[in-house]
Amino acid sequence: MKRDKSLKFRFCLAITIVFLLWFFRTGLDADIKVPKTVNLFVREKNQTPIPEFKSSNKLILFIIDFDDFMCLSCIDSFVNFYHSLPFPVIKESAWGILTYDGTKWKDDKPKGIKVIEKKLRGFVRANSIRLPILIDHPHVFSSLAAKGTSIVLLNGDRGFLREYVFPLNEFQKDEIIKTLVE
Amino acid sequence: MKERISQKKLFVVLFLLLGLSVQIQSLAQKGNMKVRLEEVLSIGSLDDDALFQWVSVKADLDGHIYVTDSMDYSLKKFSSFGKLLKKTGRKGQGPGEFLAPRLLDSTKEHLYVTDQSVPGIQVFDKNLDFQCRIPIPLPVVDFKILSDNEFALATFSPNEKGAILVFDSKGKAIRQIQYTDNVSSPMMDLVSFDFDSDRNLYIAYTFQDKIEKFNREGKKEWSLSLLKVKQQSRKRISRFILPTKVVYKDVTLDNSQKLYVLGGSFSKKKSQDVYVISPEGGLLATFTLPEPSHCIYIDSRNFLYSRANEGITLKKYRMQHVYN
Repeated sequence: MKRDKSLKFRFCLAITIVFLLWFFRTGLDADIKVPKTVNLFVREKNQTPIPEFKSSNKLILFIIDFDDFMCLSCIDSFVNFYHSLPFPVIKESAWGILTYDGTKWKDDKPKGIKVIEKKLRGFVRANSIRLPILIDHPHVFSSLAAKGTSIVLLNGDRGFLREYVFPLNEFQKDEIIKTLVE
Repeated sequence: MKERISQKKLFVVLFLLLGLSVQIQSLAQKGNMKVRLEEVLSIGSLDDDALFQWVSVKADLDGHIYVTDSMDYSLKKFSSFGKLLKKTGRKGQGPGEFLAPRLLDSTKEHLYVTDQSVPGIQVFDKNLDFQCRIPIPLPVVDFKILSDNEFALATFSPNEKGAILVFDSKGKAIRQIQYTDNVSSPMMDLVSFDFDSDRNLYIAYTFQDKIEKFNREGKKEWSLSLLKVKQQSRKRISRFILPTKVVYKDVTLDNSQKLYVLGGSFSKKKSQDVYVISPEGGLLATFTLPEPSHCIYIDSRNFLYSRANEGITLKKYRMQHVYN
């Protein structure tokens, strides 16, 4: 009889210990659990997923001088080089900035803006340019276009930026493409 | 008796008409003429896609207007009301393609188009269908169709005397009309030119203050210097020293053989002043285009065409000659 009681007691004690262990463990887990990270590049279930963000820190910025539109052979070098770039580079690492002389339409700026927008539209369409191009109305990039249409190449992986002025020689073209695709 | 009276009346009327035309002629030659422009048509606006950067224009007898557009590498046909009827061309060097479409001229049946970047002259029919290419191995600075079988062109030849070259329809050089006696510095002999119905040649130098007329035998009849340009600015480019400022941009004739010369950087209103010159070489009038233009053209009905909105718009004007 005494033995039965003792066994019973031990069994209950074991169950209690197991229960306590389970209880505290889950509680501790809740206390030390790392907050769930929010992935900024994955949307909620209902929305279409954004393309995977590249780890590459490279950007090619085309600084296009509006005056070069008056001399299409001048801007041909840019068009030919643009079309030689691999499509993923154009899609993910390339932008265009169209600069113009702000004094040219100082008497009628709205008209000047329309002229620029229209010529850009015609140029982009006729040359199948799929680059996002912004018009530099605040003239932030004007000094970069002082020598004509050019490229600013930014490489965050290696920590440098470089400027190339069109027309490019073969060495420069190779250097730029190699930097973008490595 | 009645017959004699009506004959007399007819004679008097004819005499008066003759007298009036002589009077107008002499007034015009005294420079008492003014030219007024009345806009009758505008093709291309800031909001549409009709024209982006037109370069050359021609009108046919039906009133259709043909234009080369360098921004979208095309040749376009518009109705007399300015509606786009057809567009042809894209970027390239193949048949009917362009890299830099530029000058345009026409006959009754065909259009002729030069390309600044591709040698030769492309031929299209009035439906803008490509027909053939005339091989010309020289750069074309200006050109005019003389007939179905002949055309004339001005070219850039650094080591040659200035001459207008005449070719046949297959691109074979037939003859030349020399307009300078000596070889000049590069580009100083570049000219725009036109021929009148008697095949007299009128030239305006691009970088010199000179306008000249040569008769059909090639003999110089007169030479004018309108702007008293004393010095031309020059710049070193590569191994050449080249002029930088344009004196005269373009020439065209109206249907009474008056010559219209578009001034460049040395005119009071740069690229807007137009000088009207009689066949005898007298300055008849000067008028100003509403906006700067790179060219002027007068069609067979005496309508004047010029540029507006930086080449986005083509303007057509009726010209009114007013005598004081």
